[in-house]
Amino acid sequence: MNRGSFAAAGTGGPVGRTFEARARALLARPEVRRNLAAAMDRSAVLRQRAFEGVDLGALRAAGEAIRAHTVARLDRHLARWAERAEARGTRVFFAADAGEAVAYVLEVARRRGVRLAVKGKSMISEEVGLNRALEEAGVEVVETDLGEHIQQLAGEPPAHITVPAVHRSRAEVRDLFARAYRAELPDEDPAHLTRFAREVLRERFLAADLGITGVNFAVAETGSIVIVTNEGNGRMCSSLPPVHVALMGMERVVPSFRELAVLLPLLTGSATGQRVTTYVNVVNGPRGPEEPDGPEELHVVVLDNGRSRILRTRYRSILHCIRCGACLNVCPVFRQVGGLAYGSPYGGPIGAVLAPLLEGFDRAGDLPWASSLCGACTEVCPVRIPLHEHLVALRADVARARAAGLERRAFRWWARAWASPGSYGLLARLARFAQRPFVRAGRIPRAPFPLSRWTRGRDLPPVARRTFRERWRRGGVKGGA
Amino acid sequence: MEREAFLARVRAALVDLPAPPLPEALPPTFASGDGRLFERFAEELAAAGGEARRLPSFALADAVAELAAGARTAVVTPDLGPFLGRVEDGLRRAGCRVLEPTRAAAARAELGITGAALGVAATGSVLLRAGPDAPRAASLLPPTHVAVLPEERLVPGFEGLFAALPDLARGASQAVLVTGPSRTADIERTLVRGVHGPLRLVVAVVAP
Amino acid sequence: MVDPPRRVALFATCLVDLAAPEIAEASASLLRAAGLQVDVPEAATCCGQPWWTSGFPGEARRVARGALQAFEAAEAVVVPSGSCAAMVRASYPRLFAGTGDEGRARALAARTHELSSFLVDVLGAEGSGGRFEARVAYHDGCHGLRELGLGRQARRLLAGIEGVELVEIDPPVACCGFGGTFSLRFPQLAEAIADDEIARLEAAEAEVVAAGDPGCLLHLGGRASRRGSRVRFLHLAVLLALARRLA
Repeated sequence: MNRGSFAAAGTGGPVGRTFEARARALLARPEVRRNLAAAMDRSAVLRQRAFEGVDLGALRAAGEAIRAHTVARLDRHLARWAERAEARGTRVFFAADAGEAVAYVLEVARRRGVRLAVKGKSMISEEVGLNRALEEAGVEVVETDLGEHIQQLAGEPPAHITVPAVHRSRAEVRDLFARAYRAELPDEDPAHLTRFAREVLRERFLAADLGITGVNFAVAETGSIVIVTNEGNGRMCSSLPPVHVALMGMERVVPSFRELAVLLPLLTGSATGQRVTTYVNVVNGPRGPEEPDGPEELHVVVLDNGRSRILRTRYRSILHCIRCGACLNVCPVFRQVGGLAYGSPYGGPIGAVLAPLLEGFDRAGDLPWASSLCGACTEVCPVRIPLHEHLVALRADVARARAAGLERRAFRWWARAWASPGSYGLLARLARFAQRPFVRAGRIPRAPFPLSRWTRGRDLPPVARRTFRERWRRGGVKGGA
Repeated sequence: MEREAFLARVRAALVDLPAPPLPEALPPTFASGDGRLFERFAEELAAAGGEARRLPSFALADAVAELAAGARTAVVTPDLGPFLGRVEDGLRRAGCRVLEPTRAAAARAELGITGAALGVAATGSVLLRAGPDAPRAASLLPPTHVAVLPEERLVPGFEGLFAALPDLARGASQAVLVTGPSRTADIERTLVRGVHGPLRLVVAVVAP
Repeated sequence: MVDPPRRVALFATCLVDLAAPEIAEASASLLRAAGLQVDVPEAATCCGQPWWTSGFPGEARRVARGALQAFEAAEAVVVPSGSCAAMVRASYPRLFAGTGDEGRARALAARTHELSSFLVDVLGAEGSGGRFEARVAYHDGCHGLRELGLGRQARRLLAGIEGVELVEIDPPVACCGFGGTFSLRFPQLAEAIADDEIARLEAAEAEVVAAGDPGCLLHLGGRASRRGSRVRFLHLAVLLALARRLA
């Protein structure tokens, strides 16, 4: 993914078309694992502290009910939201797919003669490939969220929903800044690096022709959109340039402000352990006729891109997601490799369900298997999405969609063998015989495929000289009465 | 895609799907407040790296003079209403020039002083409304932002905020809830205060 | 508490049966020592989890029907594996939903117990008794922990053994990285997850790590021994039986 027209100084994302290949490449970067682990441990502490003294169970139940209700009546809430937004002068565009979304934004940029765009965090912009399309059309796109900016300089997509450069050290960041801006940076103190970024990005904010942001919630009651940030770049992007384009997944609607009293704390508490983010931007429309500043034009692009297809399936609760990132922060797999292993803007447990459903099984069908099904994600999700159940169900859907290959035939044969005690026992005896050349000192150091995948890194015990069932049948089992 | 076609596709996907009702009563959160007002507000704002001061309106000029010490220019917004005179007084006393709150001026000024529509005690937040009398740049661009909040506009928690928002949304193109100075932990999770928004936030809560 | 059963069926599980029979032996000893009669029905070979988690629910049902049939008459089924017990209790209703076996599956799920939960929650055991000198950490298998709420029971049993110094890892580990076929599909990842846990166990100076999951033990123990770690991995049942000289 080509990010930015800066002198991209980084290593780029991991190479590989499968999760396994990318994961292997990332596992070879110990600093990634170390930084991820530290960030995730810290997140866990902050999240726990945030919800001390409140009834988290009741909050999660309320959050689930609000999201389930809204998604089940999505057409009505969306319609109401759009009507109210347009009454305020907001231009609403309904994009059936990525192509339409991109075409719309390109047309706005063309019509307004946009040369420079500043951007806040937007997963939708990643999903539709907006940055590249704008760049190809001659627009310079500058990511303004500090973490996203760092990743842009490195030529890499964000590695995490809320902390995009979570895996990078301060030394790397200083390097990236120094090279991209051809600047002398006296040290790697994060405060100094941040101050540097403030200066350079301030110029871009003031010069930009277009501000692009995501949407955290669209409030149907008033036709507003809500954008939350800690850095202030959301405000900058939605207040300074003459045109503001906001991108949202169609499921991000909330019926009224009242529900935000629960959803906003669930979001910020689960994401960063904060009571509230520094800025909660409520954008009601473009600048009013008497207002001295603010964008002349506000466009909101509402994206389907496969979401209505998901609504028809058993996976529809995945659309309840409020993008807090808590599931990423507790996942033992994510902890080892980070978001870049998933090959999609959506990583971690949420990504392992959403990416195959949105992008198709050919591109992302291996993701549901990249999980030990430990259930930590389901346990932490603030709106109670049964993520690990979705993962298991998706595995069956993907397996069914694939042509019957070697794996399916092997599993089928194996099931037949183990469906009856007789053949199970026979297979055990055969294995006991066949393993003899591989056993050394009571262990199997190197087994043939597929168990070679075990023995490459772990010792394997052999099939016991007498299995438990054999011992039991012969009455040779010791024990009390 | 045409709106009707888009929504029809969504509707078709939802056919026969039962919708759980929206909960009648919403459970309390950590942003619901405990009934305390200024005391809680000050605690929370301090925890978020900001400063809260409570003062009678006649002391506002002095307080502003103190905050403006060393600042050469400031922008001030008309939404300060009855406090505008005292604020300008204080700036004059500190030898700080008051500029018209244009964007260019706000980008140069060291200090931005604005009104605030509402305060939330549980989180230490103030709500700023953008409007004809409240340019956005004044609270966004200068490195120090001072918000003047009448004490009677403090509510205990989010429930009060979100109940008031629909009306506040009506007249303003944007409203922003601000809690402390801008911050990030994007570099090695080290908390840094002062990113794109102001580096310093002071809320003067004016007792009636 | 309802009267505990007098007779139970032991579901050894395939891993235990084939590669670690001593775990089932120890389980049987513990149950008998509690005054119960123990049956081991032939027809139950495997709970079906490998097929279920690989995306082959039809095949999973085929294997699992062996368990449905084998334990039809059992008043209670005891499983020395949190993940297999979770498969039966939590997943069988989903696995068999909409099939003719749904009723049987739900009924079996309700009668199936993981070993430590059976000893403490059903039989009311306080501590396990006996003697075992060691610093012991308990590894919570993730399926048992999250789907069945296990963990408290095993710790109660261990706390009742003289000489056991229970060590807690804080913050707790989420998962050992076994995940069934996951550990074969993504071996490097599985090893990396295991390495992190082993490092933390060593840092906590745990001499023995007890667990209620043969899969976790195979995976962690196999990695530890390959890397020359001195930490010893034991199944909870084996440790309890050793302490009481039942093994």
